[in-house]
Amino acid sequence: MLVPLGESATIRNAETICESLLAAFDEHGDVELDASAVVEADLSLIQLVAAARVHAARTGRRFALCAPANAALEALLRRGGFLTAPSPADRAFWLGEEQGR
Amino acid sequence: MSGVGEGQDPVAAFRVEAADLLDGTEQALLDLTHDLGSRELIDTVFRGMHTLKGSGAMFGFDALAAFTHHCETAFDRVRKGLAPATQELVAVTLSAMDHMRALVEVQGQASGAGLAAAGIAAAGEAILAQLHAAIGDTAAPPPATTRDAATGNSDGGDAGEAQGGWRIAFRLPADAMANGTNPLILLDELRDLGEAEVVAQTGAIPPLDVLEAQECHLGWEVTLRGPATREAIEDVFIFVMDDMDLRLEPLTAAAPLAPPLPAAAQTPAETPAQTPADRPAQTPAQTLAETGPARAARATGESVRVPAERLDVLMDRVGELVIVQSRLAQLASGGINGPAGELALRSISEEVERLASELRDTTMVLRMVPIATLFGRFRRLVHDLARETGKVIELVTDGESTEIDKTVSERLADPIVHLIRNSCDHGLEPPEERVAAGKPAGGRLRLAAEQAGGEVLITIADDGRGIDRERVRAKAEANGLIQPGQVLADGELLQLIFQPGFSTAAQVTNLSGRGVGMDVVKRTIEALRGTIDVTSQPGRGSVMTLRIPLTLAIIEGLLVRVGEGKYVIPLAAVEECIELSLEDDIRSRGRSMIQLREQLVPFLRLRELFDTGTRPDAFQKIVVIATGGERVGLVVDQIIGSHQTVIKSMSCLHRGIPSFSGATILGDGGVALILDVVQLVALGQQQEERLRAAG
Amino acid sequence: MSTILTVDDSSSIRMAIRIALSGAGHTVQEAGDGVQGLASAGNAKFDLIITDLNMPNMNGLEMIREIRKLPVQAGTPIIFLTTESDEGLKQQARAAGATGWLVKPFEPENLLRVVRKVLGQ
Repeated sequence: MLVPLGESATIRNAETICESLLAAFDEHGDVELDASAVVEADLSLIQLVAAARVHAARTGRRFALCAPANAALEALLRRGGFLTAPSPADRAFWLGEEQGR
Repeated sequence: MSGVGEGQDPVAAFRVEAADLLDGTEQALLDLTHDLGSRELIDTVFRGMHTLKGSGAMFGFDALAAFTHHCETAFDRVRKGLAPATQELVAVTLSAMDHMRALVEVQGQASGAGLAAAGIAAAGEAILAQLHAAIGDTAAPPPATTRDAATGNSDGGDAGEAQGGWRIAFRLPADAMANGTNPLILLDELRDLGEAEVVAQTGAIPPLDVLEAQECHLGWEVTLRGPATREAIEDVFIFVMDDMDLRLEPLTAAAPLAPPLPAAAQTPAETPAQTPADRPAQTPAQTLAETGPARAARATGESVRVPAERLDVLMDRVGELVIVQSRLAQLASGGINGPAGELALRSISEEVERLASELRDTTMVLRMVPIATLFGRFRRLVHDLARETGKVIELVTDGESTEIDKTVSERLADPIVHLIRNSCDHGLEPPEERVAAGKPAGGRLRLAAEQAGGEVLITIADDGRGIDRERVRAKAEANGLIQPGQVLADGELLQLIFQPGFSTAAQVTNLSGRGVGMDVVKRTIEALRGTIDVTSQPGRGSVMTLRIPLTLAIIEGLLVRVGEGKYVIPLAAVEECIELSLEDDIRSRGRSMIQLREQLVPFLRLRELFDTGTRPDAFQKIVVIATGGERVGLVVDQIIGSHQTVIKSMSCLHRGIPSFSGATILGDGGVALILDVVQLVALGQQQEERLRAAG
Repeated sequence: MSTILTVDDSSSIRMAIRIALSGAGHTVQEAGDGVQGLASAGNAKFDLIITDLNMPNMNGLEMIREIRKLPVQAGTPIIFLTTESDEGLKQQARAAGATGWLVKPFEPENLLRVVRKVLGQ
């Protein structure tokens, strides 16, 4: 199941995004997030995605971005310190880089 | 509300606002005297003081802010139930209001006013002493400053500076993001302090199904290299400091390139974060930059508050005017061709006429203020008078929404103050005298306003003893104003109180006898083109009636010609116009009186008065004008018609000339003088008296 | 730049704030008390709200609480103005959902600094 995000993903619509992700997990098990349209985002989105990863890991589902983070998202990740010392799993998740490189 | 004249100057805006605040607070205080337990009123007073202090300090009114602080504190204590509201407290706070008014005024005046300021400061000290006594606050008064006292803070503990830098671990309160704190901005600020390595900690983020999406479960570790001080770092977190977990460790010189904190530091909630209590209170105002001395206040002009909708109406009219103007320009460029063009021109002319008249009305209305603002001042006055005289006085007001020109309103204040003083001092009796006369112990003073046509009627009525006619007569005789035993109509007798130098006060009290007599009142009213009348019933009270034109700037006038000159007679004063037949003219040569419905009315030949040197027209007219019950006829050569008269005041060279109150410019560019009705009526009466005396 | 709502019953303070903020390129909307401020906050998204605490009709604390219930203003920074050295009031305002504060009297530069601090840049 592909969950698309709009241009804006901030604390103002964080609850809505959270609900649609949960619904997707409940109905389809595996979820892909399409964040390619995102222009405006804040840390609430990063946190939501991180929570979704935890959720997927706990319930044995697959959760991934359908494409590597776009420019806006990558800038946000760097500014927030998420790519300063990333684990291989993080690099793979956000940037689509092969693990174990 | 938007301000006209406030423009872009907050200091000017503050002056207007301070006046309003003081008035409003004073009203609340006066209401409080009747209902000491009212929480709402106490809150209103407190809030008024609070705003006055806060805004005053903002705009450099430091003395005002410092003084008001004490009153605010007093009412804060009352508000919190730590002290009772008492009549003493209200009384001293009322005098404090006057002091605050003085402080608003003194601020921003030239520094030469230092002596006056010193006097004011001394007066302020006295009031504060009373205030502290009234609130039962025997302790030393708090320091007279509004600034936070906690400025001299210094952080003890480890050195404020770490040579190599800091290892910073922090976690924000869960509601920080929802409450507007953006952690990214905090990180940016840390980066501004030096070379920063920022690592986000995501370990505390719960799974999606238990996540509250707006809460913040992120943490960070930042290695900051450089000379940043502890204070500078804490300053970044100033707004969230008290609820967050923040750990600061100096990077040791030995290990300047130490790796980030181990994973254990991801739960800083368990580490001994510096608690808020360890830290002196800080505020952005102190830490970001101490506020400099307040800017010097600038002197300010008069300003008027105008409800925004009135400005909207004005804008609409101006918009229409622009449209008409473009039609006119089109017509002018195309040339006026034939009847169609003339018709178009006439239609534009009519449109402009309508707009001009509407614009005039709308603009006039901008200057109008409700008379409530004027009446409001008198509540305080009556309150004080009652205290001073020991009388019980109830003030009743009516028609407070009646609107009046702002200038008129301001110029009416002094005369009405005098009339109220008179009523309270002479008119109303002490309680025991009233009870003896079978009246209620409390006197009643009624202040009412109503609009009647182009005038506002203001009445000041008391239910006191009324004017003592015998004393008026005796006094007038003693002063030579009338002959002993001279027969006077009751109205004439009462009018004597308006004569210069007349005063019936047997003893000069604190309230009356200030050298301002009723004659000054009368002259002030007349200067506003108004009139004052008095009626009085022995034992029942007196009524003063002021009739004031709504506005000073424009009057309806009757345009007349005398000789070759044109003159305007205020239409409000015109009673009727009659023909003066040649026959009557000749017959009345000596006496200058005409018979008007059973009454003889004196008349003045303006042609002679103005010495025009012209021959009278064959069909002269008499314009009968009246003021205060007196009538006089003015003989003119021709009545031209009614005229919207925009009054221009006379130059200072001509201002002293009686008979004229101003001038106006006519449609053809000529000038017409405006006749002073009061003066002319007086002149007519004098002429009649002379003739009568001559037999 | 940013759209900022300023709520204060003192028109002179509002004017001072408006002059300082519009001079820095911000768009400023004004409200004269808590009720008006809440109505404005319900109608449009603001980048920042600056409010007095002591106001007639609805005080600042109550207004902040109500604004925080509006989804459209989730995460909108709210700065309150205070003359109090009273820590208690500061805590109350923070608990109500305020982001930060500014102590009166303040100079325009101080206001702009706090605005920059909260909005970034």
